[in-house]
Amino acid sequence: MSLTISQILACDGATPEIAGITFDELARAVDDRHDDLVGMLRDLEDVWEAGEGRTAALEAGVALRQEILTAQAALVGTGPALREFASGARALAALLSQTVNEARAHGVGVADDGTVMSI
Amino acid sequence: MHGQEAAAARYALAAQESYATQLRQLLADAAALDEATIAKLTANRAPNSATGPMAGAIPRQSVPVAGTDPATVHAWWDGLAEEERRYVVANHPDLVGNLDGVPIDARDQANRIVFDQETDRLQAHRHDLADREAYLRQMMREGRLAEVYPDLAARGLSVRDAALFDLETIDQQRADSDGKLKGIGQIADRLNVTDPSRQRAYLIGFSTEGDGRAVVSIGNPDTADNVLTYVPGTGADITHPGGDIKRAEKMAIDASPGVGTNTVTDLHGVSADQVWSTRADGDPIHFVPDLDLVHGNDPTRDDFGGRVFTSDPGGHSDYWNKGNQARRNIAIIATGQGVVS
Repeated sequence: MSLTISQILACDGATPEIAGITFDELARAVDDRHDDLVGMLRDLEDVWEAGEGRTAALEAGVALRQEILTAQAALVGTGPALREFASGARALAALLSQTVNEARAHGVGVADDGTVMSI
Repeated sequence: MHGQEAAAARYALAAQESYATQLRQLLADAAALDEATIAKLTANRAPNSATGPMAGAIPRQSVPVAGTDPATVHAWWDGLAEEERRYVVANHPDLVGNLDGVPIDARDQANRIVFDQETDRLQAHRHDLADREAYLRQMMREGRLAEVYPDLAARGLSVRDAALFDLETIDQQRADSDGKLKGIGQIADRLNVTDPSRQRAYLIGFSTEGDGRAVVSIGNPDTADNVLTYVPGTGADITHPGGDIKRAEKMAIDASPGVGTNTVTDLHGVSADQVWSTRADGDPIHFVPDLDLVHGNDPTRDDFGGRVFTSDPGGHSDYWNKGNQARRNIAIIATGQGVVS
């Protein structure tokens, strides 16, 4: 997909950076909740010794644990992807801005799609 | 006149072409960044099945053991699918966090998980110690220590001495946990910086065993232009630097009684002219005997063979103080910008 100069300059790198950090924190929080769930399942096993209800409760807990782990693993990779995008977008915006300004100073006009013309 | 106009026209055309090329490249880079981000975010989405088995499960025993050749580890990592890598990081973070050959991004993620787990463990241990202490003191006050140590009481031994010994042990363990938690707090402060103007920190090594150990990189060494290995403190053996410092182009050692070797040529993976050391006047490390057999030579000694930089006088923890010449010198060594004094 082609992007325009104004779209790139309008991208505020701080926002995806903070979103990336937030995803990191979310991944850690989910990890903590997973630990809580493991503790709760352990307690359940100790205090609920027999019966179909016990079996159903433990099975539900194991399935839920799997879902949490799956979600956590997905979250772990999302934060870095957003932070890397933020870093790249900031660098590209700075270079683009500098290049456009220099071009104009040398009598070269720049259209939003990157094509140039003399002014 | 005609010639000058033609030259000006040629110059204008060349400028246009140059800027057009630069802008095309930057727009192409932006599109590539966009595509790469889409690919990463898509790869990191959880499978649609809400209750199905976790994708890419990798058994613990199939992860290369510590000490495996980094190239072998890297080949293993490259052979994993994206979901398998996520599984390894999420489920075996203790195995891959310090594993040489695993990319820094993944090690950082794994170590942050271990970091949180260790923090939780130490805090839980701290609470257990407080509960045990309160229990012992209450039983002591109520004269019921024989209930706590029935075997000793049955043999006529002093239950009070046993309680005092346990309380002393609790004190020592608490001091140990507090020290580690304090260090963890300081690391967390740097890891969790949300100021976008500050470079991201990567946790590329972490362990609370012994005195604890953390390797924090400012910026990603896998993609950095300059990689400086900073070796702080007492008695680090870096004769065979691991993956943390496998890309060591330069090494800065401060306040060290020795680095496990007598000469710079025994340090593998870094050239002698890029190994720098310093010791501040006033640093009590001067009082550690320079015994070759214990730590190796003092790395600031001439016969060690490395290069030496100056520090302002100060204590063992002052090298990074703002304005300290050591801090300026380490920055110059890292970036190659300026003259080390």
